[in-house]
Amino acid sequence: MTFVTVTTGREIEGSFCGSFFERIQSVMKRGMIFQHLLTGIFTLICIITINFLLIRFMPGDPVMHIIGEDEYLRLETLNPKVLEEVRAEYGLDKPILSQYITYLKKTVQFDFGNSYRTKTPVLETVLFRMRWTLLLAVPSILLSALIGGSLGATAGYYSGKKLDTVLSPVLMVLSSIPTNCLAILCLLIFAFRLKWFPLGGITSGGLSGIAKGLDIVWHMLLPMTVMVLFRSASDYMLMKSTVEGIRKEEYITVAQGKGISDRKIVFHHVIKNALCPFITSLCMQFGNILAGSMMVEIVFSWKGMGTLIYDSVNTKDFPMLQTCFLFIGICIIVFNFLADVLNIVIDPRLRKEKINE
Amino acid sequence: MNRQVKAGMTILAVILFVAVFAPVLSPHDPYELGIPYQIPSSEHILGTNDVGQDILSELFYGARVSLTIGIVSALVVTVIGTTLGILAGYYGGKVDRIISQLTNVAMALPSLPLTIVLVAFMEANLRNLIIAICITSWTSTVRIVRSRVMQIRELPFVKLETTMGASSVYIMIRHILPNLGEIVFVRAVMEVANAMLTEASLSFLGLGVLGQKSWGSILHYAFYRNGIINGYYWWYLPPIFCISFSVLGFMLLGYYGKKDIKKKHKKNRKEKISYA
Amino acid sequence: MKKKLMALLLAVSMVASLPTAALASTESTETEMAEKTAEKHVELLKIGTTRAADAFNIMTEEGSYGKMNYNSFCAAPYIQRGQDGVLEPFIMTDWEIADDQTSLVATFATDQGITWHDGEPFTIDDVIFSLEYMINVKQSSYITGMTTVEKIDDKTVKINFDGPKAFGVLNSMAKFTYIYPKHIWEGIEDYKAYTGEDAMIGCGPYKVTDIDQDAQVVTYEKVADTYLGREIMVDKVQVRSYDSHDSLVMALKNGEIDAMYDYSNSLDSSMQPSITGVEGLDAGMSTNTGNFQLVFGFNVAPTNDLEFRKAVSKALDYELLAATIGGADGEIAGTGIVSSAVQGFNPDLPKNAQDVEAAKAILDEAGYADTNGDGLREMPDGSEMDVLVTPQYNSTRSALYARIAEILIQNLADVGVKASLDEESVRNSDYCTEFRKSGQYELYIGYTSPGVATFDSAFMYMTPNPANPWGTCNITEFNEKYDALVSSGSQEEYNAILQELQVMAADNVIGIGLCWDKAYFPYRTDKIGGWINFTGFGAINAETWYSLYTK
Repeated sequence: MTFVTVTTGREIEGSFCGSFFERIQSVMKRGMIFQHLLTGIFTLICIITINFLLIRFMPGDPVMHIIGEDEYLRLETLNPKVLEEVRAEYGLDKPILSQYITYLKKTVQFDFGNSYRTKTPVLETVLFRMRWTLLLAVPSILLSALIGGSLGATAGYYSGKKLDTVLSPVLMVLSSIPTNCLAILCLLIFAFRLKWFPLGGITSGGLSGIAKGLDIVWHMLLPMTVMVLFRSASDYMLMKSTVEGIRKEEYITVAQGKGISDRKIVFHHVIKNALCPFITSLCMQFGNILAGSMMVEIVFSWKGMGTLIYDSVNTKDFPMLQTCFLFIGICIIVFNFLADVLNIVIDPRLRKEKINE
Repeated sequence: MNRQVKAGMTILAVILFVAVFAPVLSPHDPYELGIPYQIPSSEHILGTNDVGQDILSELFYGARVSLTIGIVSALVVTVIGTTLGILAGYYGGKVDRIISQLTNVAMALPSLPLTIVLVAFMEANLRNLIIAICITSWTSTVRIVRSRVMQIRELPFVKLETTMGASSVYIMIRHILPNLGEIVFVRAVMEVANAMLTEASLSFLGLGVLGQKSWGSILHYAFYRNGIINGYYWWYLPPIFCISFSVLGFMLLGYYGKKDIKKKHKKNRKEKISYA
Repeated sequence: MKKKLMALLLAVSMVASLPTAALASTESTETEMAEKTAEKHVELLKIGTTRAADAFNIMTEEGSYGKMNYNSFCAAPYIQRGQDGVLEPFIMTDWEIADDQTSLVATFATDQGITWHDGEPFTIDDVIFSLEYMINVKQSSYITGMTTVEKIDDKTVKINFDGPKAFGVLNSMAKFTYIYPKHIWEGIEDYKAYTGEDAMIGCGPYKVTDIDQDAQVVTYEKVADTYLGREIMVDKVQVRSYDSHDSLVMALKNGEIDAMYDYSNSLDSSMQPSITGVEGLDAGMSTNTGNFQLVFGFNVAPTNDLEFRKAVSKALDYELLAATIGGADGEIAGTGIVSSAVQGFNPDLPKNAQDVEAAKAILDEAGYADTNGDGLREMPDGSEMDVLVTPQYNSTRSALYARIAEILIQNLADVGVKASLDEESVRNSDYCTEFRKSGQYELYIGYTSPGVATFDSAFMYMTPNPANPWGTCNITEFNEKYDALVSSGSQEEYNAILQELQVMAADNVIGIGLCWDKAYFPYRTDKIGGWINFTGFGAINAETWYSLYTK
């Protein structure tokens, strides 16, 4: 019963939209964007809450992580009062709800507290590390999009031709190797045995100005190459299959309408249509940028967000973890929103379907 | 069936064969202790590890646990993802909004870091490892299934059935689910590959299963007992190869199988529409 | 392949002959002292470590800065430890312990022109401030029992204790406790949260001159040409932090750094093949004073049964354990557990030996029979037996702990005893700690660090005592003997009691030493000479700054 009413409701809505579509198109677009914005904000609140719960329900006494295990064990027997003081100092003795409210308040004020381990403000460390992750990841995403995208488009357009038959299997094999394994093999061969690249880290130290910049680039090359290899492979696969799909359909329609002669237009048309899912995927990659290079960072001792998260798990530095997760969440939400907006604004199919109605 | 799918099937058949007949194929008991760090010989074709266990036998037995991790994770992810996707796509409205919101939240969680946190803090066993691998990976299946169901729902024959008063459950199982075959299959196969890659990452970080022999755990010991820096390639290369080889098998199946099914699927859809 | 094996054996035998060579070189450095001034200074010494360059606080022992201070480096310790762990004066130049051990009079180097790195002079007020700060604010465990400090004159103070603890506290203070600058820390209660730049100001022979967070490199320079009357030979030191021992060793082999320093965290023995036989590189091997041990839980059956413990001690494959833990240089441990490198080691006790038949016979005799015919033994009362093997949590060595557990489980299975791995303990430090505190463990695999081995010994983990109240051993005689060890008044007394403890531990199988392994702290010998490899601590130590020279 309910089902039937729902359907009828939808039908009315559909016809309504159809008849007034042209006039209210821009209003609707704005409405959709606004809706996506609301979703984003709600998601953010959920993420903050999950962050809080995740850390609060971790096994073990947080006080132990704050003051260190040895000290904790010693104080537990010798001077348990100190432990209670620490508990009160960090607000851990209050009921969970009031802890949550305090946490929300502080988050809104951008006060993320101090690291349990180094006692320095968490925000400082996270921003410092984020810089390095972005330095490594942004160029590698863009470069891969360029390489993978253009190769994929060509291979998809000339599906079954030389480029496709050679490149596709190679890239597929490449993407089936675990990232960390390939990274380690590259490190062993190119840095340790051949000594072409440094063994890891960001810079050699003791440099400044242009020399330091060049040194950083030199340190970046190997990890970036590994990342570009992986990302290009997936960009290639995506672009290839989209172009292949569109081309088959478009080719037929265009061929029927105009004759096959105008290849340029076909190519242009196909690429334009294929760009949409590709941009969505790029947005996803940018959304995941902060945690996306984790394994490569760990292998190459790149002091970015990935290594920070990993170290924080090992040392149970919960404020640090919370803040990392928050920033990653924000990043993903923002880029998801961006992807949605871009899709609404530029997706030709979305428009076409509506007009056809 | 195209060439690539055949290749994928062959790879998977080989691995499945090894997994099933591991006890017969293995020259030694993989748990039997012996002289550590032996280099490859006729007795131990791939040498022995740091407690003297035969590496080749470990690899054969490892196929079992690694495949289990991959396939069980993929099953869990697919079942959850498909169910939520169908519900959201079919009912729309409130149900859709709740599920979509849930998906949005899960997507905003960093998958690998979250998995690492969960594995590090949950009780260490195979079940929890699988849970940690699954916890954020169901989202893409939901999204894809949902949008597909929305398309199917609008097909004339489905609409006809609804107006004729067929129950939602009947429609979902009888008409929608069979039409999702292609997507669900591709997602599931890709999820196996993903889960196996995640296990490799976790093992590298020291968070894989320790008690059982999986390719990840062989790698784990090769990493952490310094097989790599000492240049014992017969220890660390085979598990990497095994993981990559089976991931490749699943990828070939998922990537090229999609097209295969699409062709068949189109025919099916036409038949159904004419029937409707 | 045979050739490779031969090469390996050759390398092993070469390594085995190293300790004697190292000892010889130490003696010769003494004679070289005079010639050294003619020798060239080391302009820059590059050290690799795994602690991050992220904390610079003289009060905490965090980060690469904090750990470097164990080498009488930036912060000046009261007293330090020499090559074989003997106490040596540093900023506390002399001390006299009262006969009743309840107080001591100490003299300080306040008249040798030592200044804080910000230029302020170092005075006796700093000494009193530091000691009182440790007592009242830090409540430092290093000085538990110290009560008050009285100023005698500008060089001397009297330190009082709440019992006969003077020698004990001195021992635990050595190298880990420092003088703090009063003008900086006065009035600061939460010293851990203090992140001012002057938090790293000390009065040791080196000061921080540059911190490069991006490169994870901290640069130190010597404060003067001499310190406490000795010529400083290393002008500049760079400490670079690596993420793991793997990358550190690769950097060392590629010549990126000159030596490795990682307090109490030597290279795993499984890395030995990649650091031996490398040109220009010394593996830096020394006997480890610490050791891996198996601790029995006395609160639960069957590990509370002496016969069962004896059977376990016979069941284990010590050769494999030695190879797995100690690699090619691993040595089977003695029945007294304590490593042969420790002062107070009892050489009269035999080594552990596997005897599967004897183990089975003991179990049969004690009533652990297979009554239901499943091939596994049951408890004497007929109930099922499944012994839990709990490896200690260790973030960097979890793989080794898991391997040791695997061997124990297999070995026990071979004598018909079912044992299972407590996998959570490998992964989760909280669980591991809680479980140890509960005292419900059966077979607990643990490690005695070189620091503990020097003044608390492996027995600290077995008896209930203030440092480890969760020890389960209920043999009163043994526990009382341990208390006597900790409150012993001199090294001789300490050694004598430790020897007795080893005999008692062997007789009652209170624990089992799993291997006596070696410590490896490799260093490069192609450009720099004069290394002194401290037993269990490595070539970067309190002597390094005065003994190195450019070749």
